[in-house]
Amino acid sequence: MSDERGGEVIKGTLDMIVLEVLQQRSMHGWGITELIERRSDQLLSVNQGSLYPTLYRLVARGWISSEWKTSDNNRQARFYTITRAGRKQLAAARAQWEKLSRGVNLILGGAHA
Amino acid sequence: MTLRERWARFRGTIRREALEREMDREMQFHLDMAAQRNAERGMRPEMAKREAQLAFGSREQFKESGREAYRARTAENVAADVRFALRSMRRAPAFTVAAIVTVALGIGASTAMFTVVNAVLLRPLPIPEPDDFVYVGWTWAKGGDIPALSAFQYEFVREHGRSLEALATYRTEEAFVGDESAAQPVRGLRVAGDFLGTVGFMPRLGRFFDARELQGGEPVVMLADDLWRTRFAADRAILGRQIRLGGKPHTVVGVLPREFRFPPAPGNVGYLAPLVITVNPADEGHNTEAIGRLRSGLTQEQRTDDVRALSDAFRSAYPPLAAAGDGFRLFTHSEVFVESSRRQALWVLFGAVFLVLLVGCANTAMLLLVRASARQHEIAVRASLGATPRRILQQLLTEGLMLSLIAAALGLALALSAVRAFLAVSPNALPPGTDTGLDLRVLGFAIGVSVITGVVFGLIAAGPALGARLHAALLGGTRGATSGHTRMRDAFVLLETAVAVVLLCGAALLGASFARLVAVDAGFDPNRVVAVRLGRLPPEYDSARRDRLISRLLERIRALPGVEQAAVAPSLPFERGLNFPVDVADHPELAIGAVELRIVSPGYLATLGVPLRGGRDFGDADVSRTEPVAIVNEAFARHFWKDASPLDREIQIGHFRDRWINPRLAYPTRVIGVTADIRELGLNRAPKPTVLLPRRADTDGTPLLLVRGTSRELVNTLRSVVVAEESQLAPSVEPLSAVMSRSVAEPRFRTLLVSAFAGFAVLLAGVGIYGVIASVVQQRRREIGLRIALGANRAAVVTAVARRCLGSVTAGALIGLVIFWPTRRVLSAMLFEISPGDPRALTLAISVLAIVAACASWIPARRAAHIDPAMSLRE
Repeated sequence: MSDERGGEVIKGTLDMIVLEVLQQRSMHGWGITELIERRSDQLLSVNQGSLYPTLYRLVARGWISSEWKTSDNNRQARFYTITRAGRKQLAAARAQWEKLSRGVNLILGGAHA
Repeated sequence: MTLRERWARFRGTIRREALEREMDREMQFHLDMAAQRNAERGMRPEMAKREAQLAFGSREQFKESGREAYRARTAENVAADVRFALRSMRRAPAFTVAAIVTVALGIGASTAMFTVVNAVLLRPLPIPEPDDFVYVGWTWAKGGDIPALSAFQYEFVREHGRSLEALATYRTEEAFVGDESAAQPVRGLRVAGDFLGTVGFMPRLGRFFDARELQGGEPVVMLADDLWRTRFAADRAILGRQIRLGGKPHTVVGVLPREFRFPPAPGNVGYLAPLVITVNPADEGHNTEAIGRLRSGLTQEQRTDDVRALSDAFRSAYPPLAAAGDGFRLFTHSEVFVESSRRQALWVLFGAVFLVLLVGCANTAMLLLVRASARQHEIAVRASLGATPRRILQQLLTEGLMLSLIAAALGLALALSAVRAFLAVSPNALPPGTDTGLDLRVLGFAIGVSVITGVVFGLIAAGPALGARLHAALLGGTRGATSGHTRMRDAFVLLETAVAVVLLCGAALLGASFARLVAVDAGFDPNRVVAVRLGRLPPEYDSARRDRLISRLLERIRALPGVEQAAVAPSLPFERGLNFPVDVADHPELAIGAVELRIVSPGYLATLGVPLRGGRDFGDADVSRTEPVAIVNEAFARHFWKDASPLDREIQIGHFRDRWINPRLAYPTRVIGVTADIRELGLNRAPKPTVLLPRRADTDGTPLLLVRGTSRELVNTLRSVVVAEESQLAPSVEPLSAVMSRSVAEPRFRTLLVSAFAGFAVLLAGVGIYGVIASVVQQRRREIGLRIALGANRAAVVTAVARRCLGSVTAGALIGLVIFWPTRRVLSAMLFEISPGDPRALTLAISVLAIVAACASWIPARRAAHIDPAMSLRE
């Protein structure tokens, strides 16, 4: 994902969002795309495909696993499931994120108040 | 490509293809679904499809990133592990240096020792088909054998030895090759029989000697490759040309191949020349060193059967020459050159060094455990961040391996210099023809040891950090896991103590034995005696001219300032001398088959400083007069006459079992003197019955000169005196004390080595004990502080803490003694006048350990006593 604009924050964020989405239930790539689109219309509107390298990377790290299953419309689709390691990573990343966003809020929010 | 590689590549291809297929299918599914949704929103089908593709982006590009993600996984992890390992080593330099040095010493020492064991006991000789190369010797039914034959037996084997494809004999010599102005004489071999075939080589140029030349026809010579290159510029036209050898013209008939090696006399063999053997059935001296090459493919039984048949044939053909049960015997190279005691010694040293390696590894494992407890939190955090147990294990293994591989590299360098040191300290520890280069087997040994060590380290460090303890470590801090560590470290202390005790016992015994050996009274004073070996006399010297030279030399030497005495001797103390059977007419049953015979000049006893117990020394009259006289030593007198005086009795030299060995010398000899016994066969060997005879003018062989004097410059003066008298001589001059010291070089070396090993082991054990107690003190700071605050006696605190290792040290010492007990027997072959169970030596070993253990625990325990409660309780 070297082509990705927005740098580390976005990259890490996409990881976190994917893990977050998968924490609720197993899902295929298209399903993840739809869900993310529904929640935030910005992030994936241009390059939906960039989700896939992210998924492969998370698989390679052992944070999610994949399995071919039949989808709702009776087609074979690859479903992704979060692993235990993935859950831990998500917790850690979320803590990190909260720390970061608190800091950002303190600075940005403090300037406005 | 091997099958395995094919399979791996095949599987790789399948995996890659599967990956591509899956990515394609998955992305296609995505596009289809997106298009379907677009259509549902009212787009025309082509439009819906195009929009979906647009929103997706470049499919190829994403696939490529996907591939990369998979590919990078493996390589990236390894690289990251190595980087991480290096970083953590840098962060803990003291630990890293300690661990690496310990293991490097262990690996270095054991590799060096293995190199020597390998070179001496395992590696084949550097000649073709070394297993078929044998030494032919003789064995007596009454005991004893010798790897040499009489000339008569040699001829018999040459004619009748069926299993021998070739048989030869040789003698080493030194001579000037080419013009006499050449600075150094060249070492060469006089050979008889099919010498080259026996050793297993073909000439590089020309041919070997033919039968007529071997019988002493026209003088011929074969040059060694090295000499041919350096002296004759590798001139191929040298064949047929005449060169001077020892001052006489010889025709060059051949050149030896470059790879020619002769294990019994290795190194710089410069040339071969024929040796003419004179066969006399009455001469039973085993002075012909017979080497042979067996027909290839013979089984061990066939060899044994053939040798037995050969011995039977010899006995029935020449009954007087062999008693029942006497016969021929084949020897291997290592049987001839490595005494069984020395072979045992090598294995013992190897075992000792392996124990050292074991202690080194145990210590490093202990260090790693300490590190592991310190890093437990780090590992727990990494695990909680999603590192799989496998991933953590892999990383810890990488660290262990890196550590041990660095240590192995260091250890190998160490081993190379250690082997050199071994050779320098113990010049005659190796048989001739030994190649001590590091070979693949040694390299494999070192790398194998270090890899195993590395894996073990990694596992030890990882073990407690993984699995069930992980949870405990995260939740309950470090308490639970640490107690497991402490137990393991107690086990290591026990192991180290046991090994240290084994080595200390060995070192104490060898040390005590060596102290006794050098304290032995040799019976004479070697300190002010200098030995002069004349070396090979020029060929124009007959026996008369030789004796004139010797008398002139003695005269000039005696006239030198500071010289008290000078005499002629056949051989040096501590080196091999001549043996002869002797009996007395009235007690034939007391006959001795091998009495030490020394043919000496008057003044020999005074020169060596051997006291005369009765009678008189030889005088000049005994040399010229015809009446045969002898001087015997006390061991001889005791054997034949108990306490009665041997003076004026008659002995029969060369008479054995009613037969005179040499009919020309069939006469009795009168005893005119008795000397004290001296240990001239070696400090560790009891004096044997010895007879001295006066040296007469026509005695064979070039004798040695012994000179007793006070001058420090004696060695140099003597050399110049000899060269001034005959410029062609290259004499070797050395004090007798050097000869004596050489004779104990091996026990000295063994003692030094085992002591060094023991010192190293006990040091490591001390470090281990120190480490355990120090960490206990560290862990219990609060508790100790509390106790002190509540009024505990500081001395009681010290004792309580120091007692921590008492159990493992005591158990280790006991186990060490138990392990040592059976090895005692092996050791006893190396001991001199001390029992392998000597209580004083064993007590000394245990005391050394106790002192080291006490010091190692006292230092941290004292720190415990100085804990300030105000500080420790606040922590």
